[in-house]
Amino acid sequence: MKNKKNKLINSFAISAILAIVFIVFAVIFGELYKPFKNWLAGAFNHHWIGKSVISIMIFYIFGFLCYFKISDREEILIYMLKIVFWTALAGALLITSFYLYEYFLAIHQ
Amino acid sequence: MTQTLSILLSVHIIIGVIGIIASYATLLWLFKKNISVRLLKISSITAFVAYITAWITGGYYYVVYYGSNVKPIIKDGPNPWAHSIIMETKEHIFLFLPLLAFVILLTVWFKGNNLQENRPLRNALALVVLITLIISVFMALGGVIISGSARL
Repeated sequence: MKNKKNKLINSFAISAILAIVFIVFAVIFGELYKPFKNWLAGAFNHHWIGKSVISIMIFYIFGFLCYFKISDREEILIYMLKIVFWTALAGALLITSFYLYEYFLAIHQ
Repeated sequence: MTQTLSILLSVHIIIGVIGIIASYATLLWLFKKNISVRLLKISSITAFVAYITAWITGGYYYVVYYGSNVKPIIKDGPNPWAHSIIMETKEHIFLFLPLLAFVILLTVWFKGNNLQENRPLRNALALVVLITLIISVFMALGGVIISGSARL
């Protein structure tokens, strides 16, 4: 019998990883390619609202979609939680490093 | 600043601190000799609700007031890095918190009874709680620096 609880946690762990990857991508790509940031600002009233809404949509849509495909094994659950940790850590460091680079090193025209 | 915005900012700060305390409590209670699932459930849902509330209240203040009123003061002041580095980093890394808190909430509520005997599961969950706590503390410290820079 399938363990539905494990499947649900695993699927939301994957969707959290995807949402964090999107946030990091949107931050860096948005700063380097202004039309993307402007599109977020135009479509959602503010670029930050755009990033917030899209990340939440990714989180909940993939969270429910992955449920039908993801494994219910306990080892996968433990593995996924560790990946969530490393993704959040790497994402936080990447965003911090990017803004440090932008402030101290980047040359803006 | 209007009274509504002032209240929202105060709620953002207070509820953010509550989120930090709840995440810290979750981490502590995970490593107790006899894990109390009931306490873990309370702390994990408190953290999740706190981060969602801080997100909405802080987000409203940020979009409606900060960009047009506070940001120019900081950028023209002695510490422009407080916006360019701290605020830019804070506003984006914050978005991780509700996601991480929801994964913690699901794990505690669905697997709480397994945490006592399943040490690898407990340790993996503790890692997620730890990064949530670190990020939330960074958010609070960032807020202190930003508000201090706006007053200089």
